[in-house]
Amino acid sequence: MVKKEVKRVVKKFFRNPTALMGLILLIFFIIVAILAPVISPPQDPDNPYRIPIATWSLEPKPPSPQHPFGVIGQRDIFYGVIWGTRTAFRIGLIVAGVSTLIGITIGSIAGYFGGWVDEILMRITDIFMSIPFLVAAMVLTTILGKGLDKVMIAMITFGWMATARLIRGNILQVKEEQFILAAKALGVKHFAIIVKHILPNTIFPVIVQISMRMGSLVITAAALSFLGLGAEMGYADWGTLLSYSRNWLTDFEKSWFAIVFPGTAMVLFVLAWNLVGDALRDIFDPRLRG
Amino acid sequence: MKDVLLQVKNLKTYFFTEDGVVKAVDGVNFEVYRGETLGLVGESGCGKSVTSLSILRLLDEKGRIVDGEIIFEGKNLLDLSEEEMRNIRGNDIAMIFQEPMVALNPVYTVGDQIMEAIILHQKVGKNEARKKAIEMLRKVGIPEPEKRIDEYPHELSGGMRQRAMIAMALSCHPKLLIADEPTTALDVTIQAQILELMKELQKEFGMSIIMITHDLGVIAEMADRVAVMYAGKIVEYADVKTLFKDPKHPYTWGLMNSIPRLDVEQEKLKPIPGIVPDALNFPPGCKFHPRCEFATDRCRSEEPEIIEVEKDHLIACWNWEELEKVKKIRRIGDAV
Repeated sequence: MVKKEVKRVVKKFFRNPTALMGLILLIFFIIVAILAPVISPPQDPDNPYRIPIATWSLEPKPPSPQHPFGVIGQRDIFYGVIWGTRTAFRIGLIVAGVSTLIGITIGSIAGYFGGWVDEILMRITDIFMSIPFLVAAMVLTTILGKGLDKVMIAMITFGWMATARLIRGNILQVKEEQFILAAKALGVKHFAIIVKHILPNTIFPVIVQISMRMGSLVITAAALSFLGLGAEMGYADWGTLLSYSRNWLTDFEKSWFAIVFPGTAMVLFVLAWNLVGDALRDIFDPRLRG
Repeated sequence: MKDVLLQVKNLKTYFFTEDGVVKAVDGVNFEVYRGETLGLVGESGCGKSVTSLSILRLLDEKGRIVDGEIIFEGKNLLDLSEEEMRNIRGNDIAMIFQEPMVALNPVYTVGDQIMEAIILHQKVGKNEARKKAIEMLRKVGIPEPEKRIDEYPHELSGGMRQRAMIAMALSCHPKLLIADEPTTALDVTIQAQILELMKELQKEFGMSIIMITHDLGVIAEMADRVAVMYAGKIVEYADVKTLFKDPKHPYTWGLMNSIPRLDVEQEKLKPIPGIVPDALNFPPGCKFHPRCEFATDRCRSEEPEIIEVEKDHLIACWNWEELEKVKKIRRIGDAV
């Protein structure tokens, strides 16, 4: 039974060329992240996320055999891009995971119980939504201090609302379905009804949303890093690498590699997640089966 | 002396909406004997479904049972805790629904859903439950149940889905099955098959059925006794033969006249004029009077109680004797 299901998913995935491309890209990134210590051995094994100083000259250096992606801000870009893959996954998985969990909890409580519970929770959601994300994240990071973990906290704090609303809306719709009444008529408990009967019917848009957000979260984190709110200088993070090129913006000739390499990594990362997200939607949604 | 399984006494279920109180069920009395089928007939919106949901206590937030008793095997269901009630649902009283298309959860296989009920109430393991589920599917006439059990609802036809629903409802051998328009969404040949199946299973399990429908054909086929509902009340209550041969309430009489018959030559079907009154503002007096050709001043101001006019034949009407005269005249007319 399970075997059959897995077979079906795999078969569908391989029949869809764009999904396959997304999957290959994603696997590529995963391999890079896992093999980072092999591809770019850290100088200081206790602190691998610090990009080692490559040169004392402040001028950016174009790609060379020794530094294949060039050097900017005294740091080796290749090392930063490789180890930055791990950072990207960390940001994506943790932020998307935690904020989705918060969103699902709040959304399903609001949707299932309705009434004043719904009213209060949704007004709180509205308040959070009414604050422009970047401004809110900036204020919060300023309060909490610099660092990648602080950025992630800010992104979680202001990142759960869309999921909450999505889940609530879906639950409002699904809980009126006759099969929910049928389950109640069979004596199934409230908790089991939410978890077994309602969530599986509402979770698919959320799974798609998660995988779409995984990519875009990395861009947001990079934007914050670029604004100087992200990881500290020298941290292996694509956004931080990009922020180095800020000083050379007017001189593209001299610093193109600092934008192109981390930028490409980021675009491909987002693309991979979006393609996989699309494919997941097609495959998992039982209403699209057949 | 027949054994009473379920007795509904003076049940009142109201819905408290923003526009006012809707008296969906307003003082309904009936009983269901062991092994028999009670038909609950009426037009849409007369309170049949609300009555059945009240028995299982599955009303939504706005609906409340404001008065009455529902005695099932000597216990008043309205006094039970939610926990005790859950043990009764699916186990002692089960329900099947009108739309087999939407009454099965699309994300689980048919087997998962039948097994859920079995595991829940019979405290058996997964393998045992699966065996029982397959057995149940075979009983409801689904071919190749070993294969069908792993199929999703969308892979089954409407008739098959309704069979699966019946299998699910009967998996714990309930004493009472509430069937809410179980065949309305199916085409006629499938309807006949499903009704036949329900009769067979009723005999096999010895259960009682409350058959809710607006289809008098289904009632004639299935029911032993019939309660006719109109605007939240039972207006006529009799055994099925008496009801069809000798309807005494003008509403029931009107219903009978509005269905085509093969044995009498009819020029036109005679529908009951008007529609079911708006539940938010029922007419004063007898709720049927605006549509009734026998209505008098008394009907317009005073609501009739349901009374026994012949043995085991109850109706709620002030002027049923008028109708009797008319029926006699028409019968003579038929003969001529």
